[in-house]
Amino acid sequence: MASMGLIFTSLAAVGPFVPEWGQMRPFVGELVLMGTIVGVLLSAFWGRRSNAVAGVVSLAGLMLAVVGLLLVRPTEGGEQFRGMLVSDHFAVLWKILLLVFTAGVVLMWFSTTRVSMHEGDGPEFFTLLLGACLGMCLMGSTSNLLMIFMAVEMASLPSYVLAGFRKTDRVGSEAALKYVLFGAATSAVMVYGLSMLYGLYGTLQIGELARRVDLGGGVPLAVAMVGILAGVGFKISAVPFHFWCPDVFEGAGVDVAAFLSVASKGAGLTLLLRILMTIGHGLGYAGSEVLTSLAVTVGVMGAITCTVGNTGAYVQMNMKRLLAYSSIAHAGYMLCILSLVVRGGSDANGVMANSAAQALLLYLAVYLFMNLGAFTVAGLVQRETGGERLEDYTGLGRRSPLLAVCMGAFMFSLVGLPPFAGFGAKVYVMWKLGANGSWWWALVAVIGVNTVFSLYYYLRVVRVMFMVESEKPEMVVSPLGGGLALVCAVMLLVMLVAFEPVLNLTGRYAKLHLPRSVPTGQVVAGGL
Amino acid sequence: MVMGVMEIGLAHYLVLGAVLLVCGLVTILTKRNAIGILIGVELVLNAANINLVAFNRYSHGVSEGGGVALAGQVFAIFVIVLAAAEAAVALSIFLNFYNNFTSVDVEKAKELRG
Repeated sequence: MASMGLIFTSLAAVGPFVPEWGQMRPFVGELVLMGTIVGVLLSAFWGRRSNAVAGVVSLAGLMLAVVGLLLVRPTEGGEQFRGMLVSDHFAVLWKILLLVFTAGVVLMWFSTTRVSMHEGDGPEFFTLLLGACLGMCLMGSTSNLLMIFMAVEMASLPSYVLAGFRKTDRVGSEAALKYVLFGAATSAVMVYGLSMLYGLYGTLQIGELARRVDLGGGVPLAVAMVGILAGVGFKISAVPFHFWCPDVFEGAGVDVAAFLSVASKGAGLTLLLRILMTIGHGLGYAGSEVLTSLAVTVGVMGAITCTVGNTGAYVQMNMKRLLAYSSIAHAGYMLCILSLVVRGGSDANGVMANSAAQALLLYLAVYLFMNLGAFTVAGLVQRETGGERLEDYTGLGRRSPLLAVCMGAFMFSLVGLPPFAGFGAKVYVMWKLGANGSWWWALVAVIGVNTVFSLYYYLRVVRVMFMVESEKPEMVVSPLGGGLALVCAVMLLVMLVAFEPVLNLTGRYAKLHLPRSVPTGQVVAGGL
Repeated sequence: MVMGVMEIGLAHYLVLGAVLLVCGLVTILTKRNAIGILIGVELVLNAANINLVAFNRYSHGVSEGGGVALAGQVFAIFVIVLAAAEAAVALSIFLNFYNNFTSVDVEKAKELRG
């Protein structure tokens, strides 16, 4: 035993790594998810590969993970596992939102696509869903280049398969093909960018390399930034990396589309927020050129993304495609928030980063319910009528008043109209951007104009449901599906009525771990 | 080292990496065959690998304490592993596409439009 201890202490500098429980606690969500994946795979042996059993097991695992995360009292956080992962309040709330949302997607699967799924495919489906969820959890809590790459790939690979999960479906296989080719190309470009960052600054820790950014980078630094923006922008579906989004949403199952619409975008945004914040902090938020150009790039990207999303949605007659363009537009709004993180000036304590994190978390929390609800209604209509085009929604107000009213609520909330939380979230984002002054007012104007534009196509759905008569028979809605849609709609109302508590909650969790600020003493010369 | 032969250094590897990157990007953008595009992706990934390994060997091989730093080499190994996983997933998706369309030509993939 003594010799073992000696070996361990002598190897402690470089040697094998034994994690402590205290380090593992903030990552209870990921640990439970891993256990759940094993559980789902094992359930195939006992439950005769029953789809429902796999669904119940994954639902239970997701719930357990949420409870575990709620019990974690996130400390001020810090870098864990030799800086591979970061634990802080922000990551914990993101994981809670993601896991709640994924649980919602599983419930949605029960009420919509379960009937059409081949019996026996359930275990694979939920393994992939939970695997992608695990990767997205990790995307929210890392600032190490290697982990960023791993987490992005871990989120992407199961998503590709999920998009083409219905094997005999022509459009499904086409969607998966486009998704995998686009994703593989952007992630390869991202790795090239990451290799440039490593070469320039000799470290994989973003906090560490940000302190060396002022050594100057020139073209290689620009290549690196373009690479990261390509890889993460693909997950967010930011313009010009958004082409996959409408095709994949249309071709994939409605549950997969719902999952990707919030989880993939949210994960990309949280990752980008952490990268930008860490770079900003490393540079000491001094108004350096690197920061200004990053802020402008992200802001302009956001403005273009929401404009492209909204104009693209104009001509859509397919509900899932319309929601895809709508999700591109919302990703654009959230990207605008991120431009705040790298604001130059006298912000030494990361106040700005935290308030941007708060706005992002708030928006995601609201957006989650809007999209989950809208896709649930789309799935229920598809299940009953077999169609997902806008004409399948004609007369929904008479055929199924509950679904129509809920869908109306989601559409109003997605526009950002008052009695729903979408209004609060959007106004808060615009207020945050406006409070920053200078060119951020341009972003406020862009968001405002886009909101007016988006009125047309969201309200067109409402018009079709309530104003257009149809001969179609009444719809029978399963209690689970109707209940899920109703809960989402009620949540949107409640979150606006109780906006203050929601704001406080997100404010409490909007604390990012800031890398220790060490003056640049030991600078390793760059490779170029 | 033979006299008169120029010693191969970091710059040579970086140029090789850049050439591979360009080849890969051109392949991705011009090929119509899905497998061809995947080969282009692999070229870009290997360009990154060469960069990582060369940077590690020539610039960042010594840690702050004077020990051996292997971050770049380890990164390259992970890239190789994930590239293999990605190829497996991509090829199975191509196979499924072939079953539905009897082709792996991406030009055929245009039923989703709008």
